[in-house]
Amino acid sequence: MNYLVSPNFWFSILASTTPVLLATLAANIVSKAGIFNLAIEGTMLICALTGVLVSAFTKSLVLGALAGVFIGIAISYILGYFALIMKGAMNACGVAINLAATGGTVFVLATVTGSKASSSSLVSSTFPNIAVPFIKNIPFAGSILSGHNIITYLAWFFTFLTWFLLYKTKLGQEIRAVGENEETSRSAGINVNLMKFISLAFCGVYSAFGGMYLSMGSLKSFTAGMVAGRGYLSLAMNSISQGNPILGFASSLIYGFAETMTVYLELYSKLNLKLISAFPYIFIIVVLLLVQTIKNNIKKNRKKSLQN
Amino acid sequence: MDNLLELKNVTKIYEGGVLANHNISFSVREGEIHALVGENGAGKSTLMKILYGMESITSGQIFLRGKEVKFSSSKDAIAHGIGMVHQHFMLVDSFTGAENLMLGYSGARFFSNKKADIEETNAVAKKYGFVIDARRRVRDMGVSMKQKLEIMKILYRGSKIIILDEPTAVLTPQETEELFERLIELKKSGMTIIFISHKLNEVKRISDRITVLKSGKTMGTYNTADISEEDISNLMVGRVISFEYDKTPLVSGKELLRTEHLKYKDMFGVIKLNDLSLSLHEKEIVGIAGVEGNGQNELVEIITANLRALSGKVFYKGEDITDKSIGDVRRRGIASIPEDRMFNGCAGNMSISENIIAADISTFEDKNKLLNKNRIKNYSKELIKKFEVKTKDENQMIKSLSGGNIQKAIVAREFSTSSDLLILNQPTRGIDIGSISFIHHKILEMRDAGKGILLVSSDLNELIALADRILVMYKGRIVASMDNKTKVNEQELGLYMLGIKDQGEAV
Repeated sequence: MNYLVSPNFWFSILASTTPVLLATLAANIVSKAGIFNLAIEGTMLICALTGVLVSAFTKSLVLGALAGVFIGIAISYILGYFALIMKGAMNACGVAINLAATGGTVFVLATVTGSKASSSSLVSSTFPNIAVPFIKNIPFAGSILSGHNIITYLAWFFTFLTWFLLYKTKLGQEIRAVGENEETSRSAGINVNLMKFISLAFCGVYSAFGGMYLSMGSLKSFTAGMVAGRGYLSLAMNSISQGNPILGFASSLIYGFAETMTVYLELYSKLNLKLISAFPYIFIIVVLLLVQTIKNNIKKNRKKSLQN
Repeated sequence: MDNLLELKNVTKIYEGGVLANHNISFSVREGEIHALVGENGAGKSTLMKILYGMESITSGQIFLRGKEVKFSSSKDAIAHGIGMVHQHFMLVDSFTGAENLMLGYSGARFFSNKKADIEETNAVAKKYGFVIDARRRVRDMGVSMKQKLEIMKILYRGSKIIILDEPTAVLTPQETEELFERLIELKKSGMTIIFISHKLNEVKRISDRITVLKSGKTMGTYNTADISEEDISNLMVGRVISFEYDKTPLVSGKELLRTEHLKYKDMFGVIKLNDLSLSLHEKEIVGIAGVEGNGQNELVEIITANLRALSGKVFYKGEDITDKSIGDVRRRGIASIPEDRMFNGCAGNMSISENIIAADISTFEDKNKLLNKNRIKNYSKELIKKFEVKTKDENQMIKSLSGGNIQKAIVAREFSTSSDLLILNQPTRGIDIGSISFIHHKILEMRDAGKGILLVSSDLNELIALADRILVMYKGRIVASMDNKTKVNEQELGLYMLGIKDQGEAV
């Protein structure tokens, strides 16, 4: 268990937290506007592929990233169009997008590269790692906090941005009002759908970076199904954090810890590999249970103190 | 005084063909309190929704300060200086008072500023003489404070016309008094107030003029000073409301229900039941009177097992049923009509037939445990006929019926079980006179058939007309038990209900 004190271990936690954090932020902001977006998973997958393909053909990281973000917003707006304008069932729209993404990405991948599994035959761009001046020189902490992919730092900035937007601006306040009580917001003269589409745009941007981190950051190419449930997991993270991005960051760290733990266990323990790969999910269920129990107890105590 | 707002021949027909308002014309003068009275279903709410831009008009014209206006949404109405306090408050629960007041009121600021919002809210409160806590979250506020916040929201938006939809329905007498003082102050400062109510004494007390609505038509506008409560009542229903029934004198039978020392506190620690004991016999209607919120609902919910008492016991036919489940209690023979018919009285999106058989579905199973469609159909048809439910057929969705017919269907379900005890909580609230009288007759039939009936009602006329015995609840206690063989005096009931008189331990 020596690895627990090695900076590399903690560095990996932050790295593997990044995609889930971005997905959780995406879930946070739409859930505050009263949208349950199941399609984050599919959006991430499509953006992961888009970023790789566009950057490979234009030889430009910036164009690849822009294309990914554009497609991310577009897909969120497709959900928005069907669910909010056409009044379709939101969950069904989400599932439809996810299924289309799973099949569609493989189809496009096979058409372009000839391989159904990965885009490794293409030379695509990747986001650079950043050594943060000053911080990198701090012993121990420096090697944990510095040298991450630029998207990781972006995700941290987005965490702050989302929190600030939701709790410190008029716009955020109106988004939260819409999510909690649509009728009231409408009678207060707020354009309900505008607020929802604004939050969907943020959701698209975050999902896009979450997807592109996987295919253009932590890995150098796109592989089929590479989001691997992170989008769904973000919905759980969102419900633990009740839409609060700061708590969302904390709960994403729990996932990051569990995933990193898995990697190290695979390397250093003699346990069955299959069992180990189930670890992050089991760990999260346990944490969810604990969080819920604590919440229930707090509620019960408050009720009791009111009764006495 | 000039006419500020004028409606000319306004007609509203809903998509389903329901005529809600027919050729309504009336005008509101600047700076008056104008009451709009009428029975439930008379079209008051529809008319107000039209004025507030929530409903479109089928034909007719609305003039504001002499100019014709057309509202396509509430936003238009607000822009023209009309504000409305709905019966269901339009507030965001997790926001503070200040945040609610400022919601949607987009000043030039991009960032929110809690301190400025709170100061602004306090300034508005001070200006109009309201006492509210700007920092408190709405979910922690009492009803009265929420209502004040709603009125402040309207004032803050610069509205000059305030529509109040049954504002006193949720208030205690003291809070009502306070509200009236504020409204009179607002009138003095030049506001125009449209006050919807069906409580005639309140209307008489506060309004300058009264417009009476009856089944979608106006029965005229009158100066409050020139018209008596009796006259208004006659205009509202077309005849004097009187519930006079021939009650067969019956000797009550053996004891059905007994509660012993029931205690209950709600989640805010308010004592709702304080050592409450009562008993009820066969062939007897026991009425429970009281100002709403004095523990009547808790009593009913504990008897029907929807709520658990903190201490005390409930006995049915001598057996302890305190800890039994809802289903168990029903199977033993306690049927109940809940207060809120759309919430737990019926399943709104299901058919009348499905709602009617819900009391005991197992009796409609054939030997393969499948539901027997024919039997269900015949049974539903029979009850619909017997209880005079006005409907196309038994498969119509129940929520598309009028309140009175929904209630008749619920009564049909509950009165047709083999239960010996009926718990009725506000069985005729908010329904038309015809249905009320029909349900009253059915209740008396049940009594004659030997059942025991616990009748909770806020309508004193109803209690006096039906009950054999009237118990008055005040702060979770029974403060009076009155024999109703010779009719109880309404004024005297009132004194007990307000806690001014108390029979004490003798009860």
